Amino acid sequence: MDQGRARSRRVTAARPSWRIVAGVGACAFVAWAAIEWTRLKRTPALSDESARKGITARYTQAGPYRMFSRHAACEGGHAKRLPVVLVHGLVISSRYMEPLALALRSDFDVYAPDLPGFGESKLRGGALSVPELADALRLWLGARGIERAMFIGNSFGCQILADFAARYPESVDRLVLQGPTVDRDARSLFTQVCRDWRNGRLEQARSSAPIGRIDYAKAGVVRALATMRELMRDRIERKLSRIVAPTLVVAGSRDPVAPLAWASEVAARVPNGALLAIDGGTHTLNYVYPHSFALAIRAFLLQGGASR
Amino acid sequence: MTKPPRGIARFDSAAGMVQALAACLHGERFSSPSQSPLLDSLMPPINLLPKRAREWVYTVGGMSEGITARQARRLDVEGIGEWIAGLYPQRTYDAAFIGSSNGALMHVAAALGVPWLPQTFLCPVRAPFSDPDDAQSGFDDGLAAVDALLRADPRIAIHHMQDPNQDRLMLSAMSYFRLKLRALPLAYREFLLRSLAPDATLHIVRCTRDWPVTRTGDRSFYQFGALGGATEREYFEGGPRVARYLARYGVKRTRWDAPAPTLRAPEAEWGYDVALTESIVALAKQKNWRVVEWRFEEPEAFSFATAELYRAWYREMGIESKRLVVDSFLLMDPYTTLRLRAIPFWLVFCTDPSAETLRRFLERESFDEIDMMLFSHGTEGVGVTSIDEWRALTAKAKREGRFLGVDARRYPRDFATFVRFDRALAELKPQYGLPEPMPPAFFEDALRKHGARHGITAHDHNA
Repeated sequence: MDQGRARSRRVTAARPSWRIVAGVGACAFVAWAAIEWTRLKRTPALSDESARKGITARYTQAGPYRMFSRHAACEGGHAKRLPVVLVHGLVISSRYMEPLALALRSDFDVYAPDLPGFGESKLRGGALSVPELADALRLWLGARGIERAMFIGNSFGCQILADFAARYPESVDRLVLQGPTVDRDARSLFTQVCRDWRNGRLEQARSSAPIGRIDYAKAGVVRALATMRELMRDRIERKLSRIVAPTLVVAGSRDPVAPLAWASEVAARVPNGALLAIDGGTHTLNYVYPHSFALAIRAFLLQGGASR
Repeated sequence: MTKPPRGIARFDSAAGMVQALAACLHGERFSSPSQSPLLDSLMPPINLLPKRAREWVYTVGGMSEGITARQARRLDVEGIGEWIAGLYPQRTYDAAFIGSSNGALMHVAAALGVPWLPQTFLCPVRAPFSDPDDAQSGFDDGLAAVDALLRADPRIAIHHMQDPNQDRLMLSAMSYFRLKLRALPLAYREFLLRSLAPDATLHIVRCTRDWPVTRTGDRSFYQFGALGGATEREYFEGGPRVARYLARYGVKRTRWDAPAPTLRAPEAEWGYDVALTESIVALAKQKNWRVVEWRFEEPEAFSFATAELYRAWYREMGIESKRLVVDSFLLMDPYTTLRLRAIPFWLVFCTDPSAETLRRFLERESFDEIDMMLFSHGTEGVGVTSIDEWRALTAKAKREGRFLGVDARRYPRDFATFVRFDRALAELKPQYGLPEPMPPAFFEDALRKHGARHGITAHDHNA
C-alpha cells in the first residue's frame, strides 16, 4: 500500500516537469518565430546588392495609396520604346521581379510596383479584390505619368493584368502572361497549394522562397489568406476574350501550377493571343530563369509601340 | 561543392571532372570525388579488407548510388543541369566549353578559367544479382529502365552500356545508362546567358569516337563493351584474352554473346551526340556569340595537345616545366597541377591503350619528375596494365618517378586511392600561386595551329 502510494507520488511528480519542458519549448518557439517575423518585416526595401546593380526605388502617391516601386533604367538608350511594367504574384512583392527587370534593362525601361498591401506598399484595412488591385495599378501609372506600357505578369499578377487589360485597353500596348492562374480545372485551394509545393521542389536550387517569407511577413497572414480567397474567386477565363492587346502566354513545360494545357487554353481565349512554351521552365520564370525568359519574350516586346 | 542529384553517379567521369574543374575555378583542390567525408574516412579501412570483401564493399557502395527503374521515370534532367551550373563561381566568363567529357580538357578550361558543361551523365539503375557476362539478359532487362528514362525527358538519348570487362563489379548490382543531352537544358541556357560576356565564345567539344550498338528506339541504344583494355572485336567475337579473363573469374562461357549491332553510334561515355549542336548554335546566334567546334576521334588526342599547350604557356611565363602529372580517368586535380607548374597528361583508364599513349608521349618528351595517379576499378580485366608496367613508365623520369596515393599491392582494387591521390599531389613541392588565366586567343591560336597533328580540327559555326 505504502509502496503503491510512493509510486503514484513519483508519477504525479514527473508530470509537471514534462509540462514545463513542453511549455518552455513552445514559448521558445513562439519567441523565436516572433523575432524572426519581426526581422523579416524590417527587411530593407532595397538591398545594397540590388542598388549596386542599378535598381532604384521610389514611393508614389497613387490616389488613396502610397505605392512603392522599383525601376531599372534602360541601359541601351532606347528612350522612345514604351516602358515595361512587371506585375507580381500572390502576396509576394516586386522584390522577386528584380532579376527579370535587370535582364530586360538592356532593351527597356522597366518598372515593378508593389501593389497596395504587399511589399513596401502598406495598406490599412482589408485585402483588395482583383479589380481593385487593377484599379490601383491604373492609379499608379497615372501618378507616374505612364500613359501606355507593355506589361508582364507572373501567376496571380496575370489575373490582375487580365482584368486591367480588359477594362483599360488604351493603357496596354501588349501583354505577357507567364504562368497565369487559376487553372479552371484545378480550382481548389488544396490543389493549388499542392501544386505550389511541387513547384517549390522543382525550383529549390534557386528558390524565391526566402523573398516570399519576407513578403508574407510584410503583408501579414490575414491579408495573405484574404488575397488567396480573392485569387480563387476571380475567373480569369471570363475576361480573356475582352483583351484586345497582343498577348503572349508563356508557359514553363514543367510548371505544375499553370500547366501547358491550361496556358494553351488561356492563349486560345485571348483574341490576339499566342502561346510560348519554355522547355524545362517552372512557374517562377522571372526569378529562376530570368535571362532565358527575357530572351524568349524579347522579340515580342520589341514589336511594341513607341512612347509619345 | 554539393552532392550530385539522385540518379547521377559520383564515380562517373563527367561528375568527377566537372567537380575537379569547378574546384579549381573556386581556387580549391579536388580532394574528394565522393564529396562524402564519411565515405572518405571509411575508404582506408575498407582497403585493408581481403580481396573478395573489398570487391563486395565496392559493389554495395556503388549500388547505393543507383536508383530504381521507377525512380528513373522521374529523373530530373533540369535538376542535374542546375547542379552542374551551380558548381561554378558566379562571374563573367569569356568562353565556355560544352560537350564530350575529357580529362585533358579540364586542364585547358582550368588554365583559361572558364567552365565546361558536360553532355553525358551516368545514371546507374539498380539490378541486383545480375550476371555481368550475360549480354542478352542485360539487354532484355534494361529495356524497362530505358523506357522509363526516355519518358523522363524528351531531350535526352539513352545509351545502355554493358561492359563486363571493366564494370564487372558494378554490373552485378546495377545497369549503366549514359544520358546524352540532345538539347540544352534550361539550367544550362540560363547559366550561359547569366555568365557569358557579350563577345564570348562557345567551344563545342566533339569527340567522334563511336561504337557498334543495337538501336532500341529513336533515342536509345544498347552498347556492349566500351573503350578500354579490350578491342571491339574481342567484345563481339571473343579471343584468347577474353577466354582467359572469363576463366579467371570462374565463368563457364569462353566468350560473350552480345546482341547483333545494327549501327555505329557515339561511344556512350566519351562520344558526342551532334543533336545538341543545334540548340547551342541557335542560342549563340541570338546572343552573337562565336561557336567553335573542336573535333577529334580519340579522347587522349586532347592530352597531347594539352601538354603542348601548357608547355608553350609556361614558356611564355618564363617557366620550363620539368614535372609531368599523369591523371587517370577521374583522378585529377587541375588546381594543384597548375600550382606545381606541372604539365598535365590525362589517360582514359588504367589499361594498355592508355599505357601505350603515355609511352608514345614519353618517347618525345622528357621530364625530371613523373607523378602518376592510377584509377582502380576493381577488375583484373582484359588489357588492364600491370603495376610493374606503370612503374616502368614512371621510371622514365630523369630524376624521380612516383605513384600518387597508390597502394601498388592492392591495385587494381586499391579503392582508397580515391582519397589519397590528391593528398599525395598536394604534398609535392614547390608550389606557387595560381597563374593569371591563359589568354583565350593563345589557346585558340595554338590549337588551330598545332591541333591537326594530334587529330584535332577546328570548325567555325558562324562562318
